[in-house]
Amino acid sequence: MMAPRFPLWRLGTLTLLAPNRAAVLTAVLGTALVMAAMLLSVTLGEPGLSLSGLVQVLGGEASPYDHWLLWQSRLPRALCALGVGVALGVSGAVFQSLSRNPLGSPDIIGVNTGASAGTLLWLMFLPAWPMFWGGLLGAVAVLVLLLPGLERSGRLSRNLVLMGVAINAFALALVQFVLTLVQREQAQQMLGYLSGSLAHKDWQQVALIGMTLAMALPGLLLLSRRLTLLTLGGEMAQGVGAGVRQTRLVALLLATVLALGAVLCAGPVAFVALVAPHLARWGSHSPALLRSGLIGALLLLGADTVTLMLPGVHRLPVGVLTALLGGSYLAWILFAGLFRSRSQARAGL
Amino acid sequence: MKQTHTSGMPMDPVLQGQDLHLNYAGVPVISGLDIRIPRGQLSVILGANGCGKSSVLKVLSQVLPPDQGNVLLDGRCLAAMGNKERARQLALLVQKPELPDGISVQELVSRGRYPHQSVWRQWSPEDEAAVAEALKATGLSEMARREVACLSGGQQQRVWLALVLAQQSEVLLLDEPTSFLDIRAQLSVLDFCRALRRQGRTLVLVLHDINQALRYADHLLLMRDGQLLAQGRPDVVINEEVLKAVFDLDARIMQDPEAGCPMLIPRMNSQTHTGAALPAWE
Repeated sequence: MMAPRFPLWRLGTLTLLAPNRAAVLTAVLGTALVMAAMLLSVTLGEPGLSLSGLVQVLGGEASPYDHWLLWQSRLPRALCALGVGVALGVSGAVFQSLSRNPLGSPDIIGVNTGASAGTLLWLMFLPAWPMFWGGLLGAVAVLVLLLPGLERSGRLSRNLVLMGVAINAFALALVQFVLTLVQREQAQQMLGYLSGSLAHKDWQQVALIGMTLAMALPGLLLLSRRLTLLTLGGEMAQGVGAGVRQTRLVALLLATVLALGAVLCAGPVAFVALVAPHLARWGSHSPALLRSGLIGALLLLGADTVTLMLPGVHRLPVGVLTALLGGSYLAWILFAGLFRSRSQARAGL
Repeated sequence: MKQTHTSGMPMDPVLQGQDLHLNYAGVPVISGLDIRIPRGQLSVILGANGCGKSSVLKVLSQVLPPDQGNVLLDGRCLAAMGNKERARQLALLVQKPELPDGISVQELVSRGRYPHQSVWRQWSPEDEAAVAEALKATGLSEMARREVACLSGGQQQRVWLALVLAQQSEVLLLDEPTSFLDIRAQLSVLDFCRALRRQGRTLVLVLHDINQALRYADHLLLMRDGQLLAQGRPDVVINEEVLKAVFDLDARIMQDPEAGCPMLIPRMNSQTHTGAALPAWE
């Protein structure tokens, strides 16, 4: 008899998989990294609040300005970066695993663009009402258009991504339509939102992204075992009892909620949802939701801190930086893959 | 011309399809099929490409819900059963399962335990024992930690068999488990299936090699155009007319000198060309 591979936590009939060493290490390291990134994000950059300033604020002996800076500006901003990063990372991991395509992330297949198009249309036609509803409508519209891609045919992946690309183009056209119609100043504002920005975040937005995560994360974590089974293909997953249709539907819904929350909070920040799951999957054959969320948070916190520190460029929207970083990463992956396949071809493989 | 030969003893069906209909994009694949799978036997479904064999397995396992008709497992309607409950009693190995990147033998086989688990019971000693037993039965214990993608085709097929075995279901549906394997690996898979049947399990296989089917099957199901043309014990049900009807094949039937069961040899076809021009493909 083989020694059990998985240490178990048992309590009567309750048997939970005890986290193995790698999982514990990931959790500890991840938490430490996020704390460090939060600390850097709060203390670095202009307008400045140094480490000693932070200590003073926490000790209650700082100037009212420093107090305001931490509690009303830097901390909500860092928390928004954290929440949006987690939401984008997890959402991207779910979408990529459902579409079985590394390009099938919400920022490519139109969910983010749809939500922002809805928001802008709402701002233009119903400015008196909260723009939340516009984003919701936009995201729901995209979801409804994507649902036929979840039919019982085995060709889910290609359909979902191709349809998503078409939907994305359509939503982008709507965005441009709005931009050409509004006044120049409003267009400027909208462009800032559209590139994805974490400037001027307050506690209301922290609450928004926090509630989004509270709504969608627990359900997705409960589904993660089934999502892992889906990597065997829909038919085998159904064969071992995973309930493929329901899993796909609920996971798609919850992942859309996450993407929507992120877009409402910070605008369509590019590439985090695409890149975080790639990094998270290293050496793993499950969608690795939590790891992806963690990496998304680190990416966004890091990128936002850099935008605060860049000299000269005042208030660079963080989305511009993530797009630059993410685009380069993707290009590097593609070139590396291209190079590998060419050298394999040369080796006659 | 619907002629369903049924032969042999009164049957105790463990799995039963009633008036099944299935369409792919409006094209009927199965139309009005009634099928009964005898308990504790090794059944083999034979038929030409595209006759709906694989679809029958998918419908019988509820992977594809039929457009019309019922599937009964032990007299209970399969559609009304929970996914996990069904998977504890019925396992399916599809023709081309997808292999997750970098997965090890042990991890892949462990996924067969899903229907026995829950959020509160993620991994139990029974799971551990079932996986170990499945690995042992398929001769994979030594390779448990190897990466599946690095194994040979025959070994990989054994890993997939171990996965459905770990499900510990009474009924196993295997779609072309011998395809793409060399002859030795094919026979070892079939011998393994026969051994499972001796343990009292019910197996349904889709096969292409008619002679292997005749040698290994207790019960043959012959399909054409989504219909069952004939079923029963191989030596009773197989004859030249049936082969002609099912496969459009002119063949002689003789006795397998090894096993004593029937075997077939295709006749030299009068249409076989020897000239320079390619014959028209039928």
